[in-house]
Amino acid sequence: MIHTAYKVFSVGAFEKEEQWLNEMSAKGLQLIDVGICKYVFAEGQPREYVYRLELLEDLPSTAESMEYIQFLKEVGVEKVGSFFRWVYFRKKATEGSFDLYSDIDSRLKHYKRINLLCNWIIGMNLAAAIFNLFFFADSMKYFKMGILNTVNYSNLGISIFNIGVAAGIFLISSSIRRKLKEFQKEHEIRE
Amino acid sequence: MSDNIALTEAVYYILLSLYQPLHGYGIMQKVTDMSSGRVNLAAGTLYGAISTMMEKGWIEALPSEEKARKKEYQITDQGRNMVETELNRLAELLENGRKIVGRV
Repeated sequence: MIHTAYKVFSVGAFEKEEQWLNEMSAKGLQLIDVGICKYVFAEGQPREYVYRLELLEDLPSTAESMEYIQFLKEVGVEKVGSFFRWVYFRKKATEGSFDLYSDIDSRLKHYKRINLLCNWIIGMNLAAAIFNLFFFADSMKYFKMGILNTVNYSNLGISIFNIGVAAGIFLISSSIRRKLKEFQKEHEIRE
Repeated sequence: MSDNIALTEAVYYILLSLYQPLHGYGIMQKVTDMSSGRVNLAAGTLYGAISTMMEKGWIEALPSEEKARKKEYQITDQGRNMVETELNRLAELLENGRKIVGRV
């Protein structure tokens, strides 16, 4: 039996997403495919697989990424699906614990990559918000001058939406920034 | 780049395990065995370390006969030098530790 779930996880909520996938696995539902906000599960044994989520440096279709994915396959880590640069991996629980990173340095590198992506998206939203505010302000000016006969409230609306998205992602990704600080501190003392 | 920089535990053990040709999974096994289960390399960390060491010329990939065979790696002369330098550093650390703390 195939189960499909639709869920939205913000880019900054990757830890929650991974946790959710493992909670589903504990219930016996094993992820077999992903789409945009769409998760497809097959029925299996409880905790049959351990799931990990990774943000790659490039799209999974590039040569470097494919080499990495192939290497992982050789050590028993299977790619279940991908979305943009996010790749969903799983490994059989019987083969022992599964984590992609075993030292601070490599974990830190991964978190930095995720943090950068979050900052990009926040930045783009803020830029879009500013653009839209300008359009709105201009439309007010031209309306007052009698050149336009309505004010572009839609631009204001979009601007507010963008600011909302930026703020939302900023808040949700606070856990990422917190972990980054922790790792950086740890990195100064040990590996 | 100075040779006085310490190797991480993972890199040191990977280099040691590659005195014989091994593929990825073999490296993971060998390191776990050598460290009696204390050091368990995760796949992502291992891949990153291998890529960096190849760039630095400390290890090399062996030409694989068929596409189906898993890629094998082995240490280079430069890699052997790194291990020997590291051994000296570790010996110094151990000697000083024992002088101050006594035999542990």
